[in-house]
Parts: sequence; structure tokens; C-alpha cells
Amino acid sequence: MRKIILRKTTVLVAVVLTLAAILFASSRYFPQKSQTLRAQQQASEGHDHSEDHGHEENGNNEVHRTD
Amino acid sequence: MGPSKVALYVLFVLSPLVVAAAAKPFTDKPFLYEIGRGAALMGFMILMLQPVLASRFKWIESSFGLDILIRFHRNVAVIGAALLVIHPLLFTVVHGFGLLISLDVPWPVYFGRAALLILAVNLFLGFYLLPRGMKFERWRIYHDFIGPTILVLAFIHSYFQGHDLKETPALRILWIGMFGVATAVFIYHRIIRPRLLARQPLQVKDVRRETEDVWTLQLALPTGQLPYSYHPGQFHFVTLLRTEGLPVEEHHWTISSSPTEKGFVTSTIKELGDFTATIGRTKPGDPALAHGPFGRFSYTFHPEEKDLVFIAGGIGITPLRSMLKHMHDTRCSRDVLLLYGNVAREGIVFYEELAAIERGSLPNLQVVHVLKDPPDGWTGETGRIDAEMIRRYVGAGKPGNGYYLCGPPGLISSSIRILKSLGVEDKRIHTEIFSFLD
Repeated sequence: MRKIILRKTTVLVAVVLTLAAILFASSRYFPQKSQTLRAQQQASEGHDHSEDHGHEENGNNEVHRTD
Repeated sequence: MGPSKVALYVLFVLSPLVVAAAAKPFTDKPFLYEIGRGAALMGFMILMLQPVLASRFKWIESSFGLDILIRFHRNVAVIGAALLVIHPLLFTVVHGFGLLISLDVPWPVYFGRAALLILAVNLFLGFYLLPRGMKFERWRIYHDFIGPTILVLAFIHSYFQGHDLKETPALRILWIGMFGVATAVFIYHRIIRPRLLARQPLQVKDVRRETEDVWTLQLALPTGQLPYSYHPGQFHFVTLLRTEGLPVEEHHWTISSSPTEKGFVTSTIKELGDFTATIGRTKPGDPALAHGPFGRFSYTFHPEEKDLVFIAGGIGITPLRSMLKHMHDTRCSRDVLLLYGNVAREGIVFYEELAAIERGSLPNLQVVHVLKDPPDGWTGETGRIDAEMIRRYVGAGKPGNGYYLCGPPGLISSSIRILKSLGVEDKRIHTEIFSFLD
């Protein structure tokens, strides 16, 4: 009985520590990653905006030209 | 209490992760690298808590029994080693394999490598050589040297190399604190406590031959008092300080006397190895150190149990004798069935005493002797204590009854299997594990 409890406790401790390591890494890595992604997105949006602006300009130009 | 102590242990191991994550919530390193950091932090904590688990502290031991606690110490050593091996492997995702093999690394990395190497040696000794016949006392000397060496190397490596420690003062304080605790516990366990015990040595009062190769040592303080009180069925560590150049080693033996026998304590010992072969040469008056009691193998820890079934093989009778004597002296009214297996009639320990308790009114004891090689005219059971015999005597496992098994590992494992097949609940089957090694 006590040996069975010992075995289960050992497995439980191993599982908890493994999950803790993953949680620890996630807590540090993913906020950083999401921040990086957000920054990339913002940069990308900024780029898109300029592209859109370019398109608009081009469009306008085109429109103007068309006009 | 047991689960809360396990939870406390886990919280200790996890504490550096909480501190590190709070101090530095972001990273610029890969995900696997961060897992490696977490593994290193937890591995260090497991290492530093190892002396605490192995130092026989009553507050910890009382919830589990020392046999289970020592096994937990062994099991978490493997978990700790796995975490510590994983961390440099995962760090290679950033630093490359040069971290493992290059000579051009910061000096604390060498300490980490040395710690891992010696840890591997420690595991090899404990898990491979020891079960294959390495002398326990020799292993213990190695372990007493290797264990602290690993702790020192791991501390230096992590303190001077760990980035989280460099950046987090609270983590550095935790590290120094844990290293201090581990060092203090080790010094207390191996140096101070033996000296404290030596201030109050017991004396061998009597050496009695029970059978051809079984002896009972009676120990007592010169004052007639005992340095500790105990439950019937518990064990203690004894160091016999004998003359004549006989070996001085610490051994753990069951206390075969009952707490109702005042003024002394006895251990009944079978000649099984080099040391125990010299037990008969112990002389009355020889000093002895005793540390105890330990263990949870006692019916007194389970007052809710009704009637009891004892199954013993050979020298495994000793804790059961202690319990039966206690029941007899305290007029315990339970029914007790004792199945006691031996090779030959001459090998039965406490034959007359068991018969006397059986003849008495309380407890209501039935002793069934089982002999492998019975003498002519033997009318008792023969062969081994097997499934058919247990079923015949025990019948269906009654709810609420307690089952106490002590003897060779084969007898214990087969008895557990049979009792479970009879419907006995796990929690009602109690075993004493003689060896800390299996």
C-alpha cells in the first residue's frame, strides 16, 4: 500500500515539475513573442498603411491621371 | 499530514520558478531554452533538499515511515538528475553543442560538468552496484563524500553562471539559504547527532541465542531508562561499540521488545552477513548507540482495525512478536491469526513465547506454523505459505481487518497479491520493508 502511494506520489511530482517547467517557459516566452508579434504587426500595419497610402496616392494619381 | 508535507516539498522545489518569473517576466531566448532554465532551477532545489529527506527528521518521517522516505529520496534523485541533465541539452539550442564539449567555456561551466559527472557516478553506485552486492557500508562512505561534493559543485556552478541568479537578488538569497540549510542538515546528521547520541550511550545487558543463527541483544541505559519511547513494531539504528576489534557499523534492526517491557529494548538479529555473523560475540557491558524509533509498521497506528492477520517468514517475526507481546500485556481483545513460515522446526524464533501467548486468553491468538522441511511427526502445515493456505485460513477478506506482512520480499509480494484477490483493501495491508535498497 505505502509502496503504491510512493510510486504514485513520485509520478505526480515528476508530472507537476514537468508542467511547471513548461508553464515557466510559457510565461516568459509567449508574452515576449506576442509582444514581438504585436510589434511586427504594428510595423506591418505601418507598412501596409504606407502601402495603402501609396495605393491611395497611386490611385489618386491614377485617378488624377485618369482624370 | 503526509500529503501536506509532499505539497510543501513541491512548493519548495517550485519556489525559484516563481521568484524568477516574477523578477523577469520576459525573455529573448527560445522556448526550449527557458524550459532548460526552469529544469535547472528545480533540479538545484531537489539537490539541496536531498539531505533534508535523508536525515531521519522525526517531523518528516512520522507521516510516511523512514523506509518510504528513503525511497522517495532515491526516486527524486532520479527526477533531479533528469532535470539537471536536460538543462544543458536544451541550452544547446542557443549555445550549440560546444557548451557540452568545448574547452572554451566560462569557468563555472566546468563546475556544472563536474557536478553532472559525479551525479552520474552516484546514481551508478546506488542503482547498479549497490543492488548487485556492493557492501552497504562502503556505498555509504562514498555517498557521504559524493553527495556533498555534488551540492558544492552545483551551487558554485549555478550561483556564478545562472543568468537568473545574476539578475535577481531574491534568487541569490534563496540559493545561499538553501545551500546553507543543506550544509547544516548534513553536518547535523553525520557529525553532530552521532556525538549527541554518544553522550548517552546504552549498554548491552544481555546477549541471548534464540536459534542456531538468531540472537537477541538487550540494550538499556545504565539508569534503566530508555532514551526514547516507541510503538510495538518500530525499528531503530544501533551502533555497537565493541572491543576485540569487531567492526563498528550502524545497522537498523526491528525492536523486538514491547513498550510494556520496561527499562530495556531488544533487537533480535539473524546472522545474514559479515557484520551480523559477529553478533554472538557481543558481550554484556559493551556500549551501544541507538537512534530511533522509526517506522509505521504497528497495529497501534491503526486503532480502527478490528481483527488482525499476521503473515511472517523467518526473522520477519520480530516486529510481530513486539506487537503480540504488547497486545498480551495490554489485554487487547482482538482476534489475531499468525501464519509463520520457516524452513525447519529449529529455525522458529520465539516458538515457546508464541505458544504461551496463544495459550493465554488475550489476545485471541491462533498460531499456524508452516515448515518447508518438517521433522518426523510434524502435524502442522508444510510447504510454503501459498494462496491456498492463505485462502483456507483467512477466508474472504473481512472489511475492517488489518493485515501485517513481514518477511522475505517474495513472501510479501505473493501475500499481497493473494490478499487483494480475496478482496482486502490496499490500505489494510501493511508491510515492513527490511531493506532500503529494493
